Amino acid sequence: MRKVLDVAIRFVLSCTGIILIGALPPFLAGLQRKTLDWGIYWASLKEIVYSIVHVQDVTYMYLQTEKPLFPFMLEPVMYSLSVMLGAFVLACTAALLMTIITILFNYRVRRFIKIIFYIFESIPDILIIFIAQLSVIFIFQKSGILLMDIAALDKQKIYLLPIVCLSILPTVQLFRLSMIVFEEELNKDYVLLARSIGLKKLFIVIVHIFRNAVISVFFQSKKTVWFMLSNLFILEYLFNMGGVTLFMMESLNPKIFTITLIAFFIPIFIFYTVGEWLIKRKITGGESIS
Amino acid sequence: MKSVWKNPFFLIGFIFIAGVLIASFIYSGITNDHIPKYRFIYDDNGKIIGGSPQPPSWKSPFGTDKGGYDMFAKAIVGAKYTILSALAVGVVRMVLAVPIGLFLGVFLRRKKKYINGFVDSFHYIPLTILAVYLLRPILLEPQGGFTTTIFERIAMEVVILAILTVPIIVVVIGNETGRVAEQEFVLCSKTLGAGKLRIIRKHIFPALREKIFVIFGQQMMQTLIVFSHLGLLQIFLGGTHISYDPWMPDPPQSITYEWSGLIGNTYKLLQWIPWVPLTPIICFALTMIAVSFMIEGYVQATTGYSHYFKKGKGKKQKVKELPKLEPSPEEFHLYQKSS
Repeated sequence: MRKVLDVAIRFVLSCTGIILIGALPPFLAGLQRKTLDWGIYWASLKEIVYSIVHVQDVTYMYLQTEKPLFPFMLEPVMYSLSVMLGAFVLACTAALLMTIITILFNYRVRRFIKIIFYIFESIPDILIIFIAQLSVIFIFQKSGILLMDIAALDKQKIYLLPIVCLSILPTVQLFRLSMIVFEEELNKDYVLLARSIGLKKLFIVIVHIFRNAVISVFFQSKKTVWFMLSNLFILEYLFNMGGVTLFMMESLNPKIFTITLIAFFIPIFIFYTVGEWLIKRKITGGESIS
Repeated sequence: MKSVWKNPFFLIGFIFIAGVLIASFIYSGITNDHIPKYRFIYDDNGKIIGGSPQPPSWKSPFGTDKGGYDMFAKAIVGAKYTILSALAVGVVRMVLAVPIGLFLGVFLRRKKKYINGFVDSFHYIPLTILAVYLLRPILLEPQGGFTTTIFERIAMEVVILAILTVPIIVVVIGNETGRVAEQEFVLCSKTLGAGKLRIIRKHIFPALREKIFVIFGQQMMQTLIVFSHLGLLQIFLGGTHISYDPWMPDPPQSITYEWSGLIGNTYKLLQWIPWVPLTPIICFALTMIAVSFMIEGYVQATTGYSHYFKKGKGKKQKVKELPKLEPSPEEFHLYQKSS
């Protein structure tokens, strides 16, 4: 019961935070005239809260026609979420696989691989998207084979290239993260014990270390998801995808902005809360993990 | 602790950034922001053999854009605005977040759970979209021109971008502070009668110094990413100049040549003249790599191990060799002869 209450409090606090931020722009617009009017902030706060309570009545302008927000919003939200989930799963799988392969090498090779990835990590995401688009075009020009669509037209939905592009930098980040966790585990006593009774390194890594390390990686992946959100936005802009972020940009209006953010926030929040709960139950039998 | 100035990683990063900045200032000082223009390319007889845009060549290392302006000169002129603004954002963030974080970690440890829950909401808002959303009313030129000066706009942008992530840094620093505050040496100092302020000053801050530098570097890199995203969405550092000419509107332009303005709407030209959009992006990439090298170098120099390559064997510490003492037979005496 206490735990449920805790989660509820966290949820309400996060929503409050989003609403408080969502009401800022009309307030900040006063900076152009060098005035800051708290009355405007208060008014837009009230407006946002009102429209969240009466979410059925909110409309938005699309090609000069007013449309109700609610059923129309779900489609872009689902599209963006599926691209993001796809990229996240791909990034996790790739990062963990690479970690397991890398950890089997000796120290020197590991260090070399890490230096390469370290430089890779500080490349801006736009460059990666540009390179991906250019290389698909280049392959098309040379061989006539269009590997994947590089941009969406009108209502078309593209998945493959955006997911691949979106997953590259998170893969690198998660790889570094899991490399640190795995190497920490590798130095622990149970690994020594397992090796002393003659188990193979691959077996220890997959069966023992993996189970322990994956928990830490999960808890620390929240930053990566945050990073992916910004990345997703640019991706949708460059690929002309009809996702949620584009939808937010088209109607830069505090009400719609806030509602879209909350609609996007809820699935991610559920994902992390359920994930945390499952891990705590399953793996440690109810013990808390810091 | 070795001096950071002897660490190769730190030096490479520092020299790159300082070099670019100095070059930028010198170039502007000498040529007064003049950008060379090669509208047509002539051969030796004075015949036109080509026009702009030109691909990269020896004369213009990054090529020229559609108007024949040299991309390399533009990038050099713009470097100082971009790098200094990113630096300023990082500094403002740390100046605001470090004291609040320390305060939070020491005084408000009971309420930490609620503060964390509130700040958690920031992890679900894409930073770029928030920045676009907040900066658009300030940076897009309204009809009839700006009412603010360029430095006011840059200052506002820096402060707003800085405040956006302050809550997250505050929580990170607060958690670290809490972790240090539970260590034995702090408890010991507390039993000896040290006040909270003294503990912060003498124990917690020194323990967090490396962490703070790492966060500072990461924040600077993140700011550069946000600048590049904002450039793509045509919100330029220091304001976007918009032409309201009803007949022939020019594309939105940056007032200075800073890098996000150079990205602008050139990304649509990626397939035809890739060097134009790639120049500012590569500038961003190089600066970010330089900053991450500085972080790595700093951590290696101050802590002896690596931030990114944690838990390695590390370098073997040199043991100071003692002078060898060869025992000589004369040093040995028999005190008692056994019978």
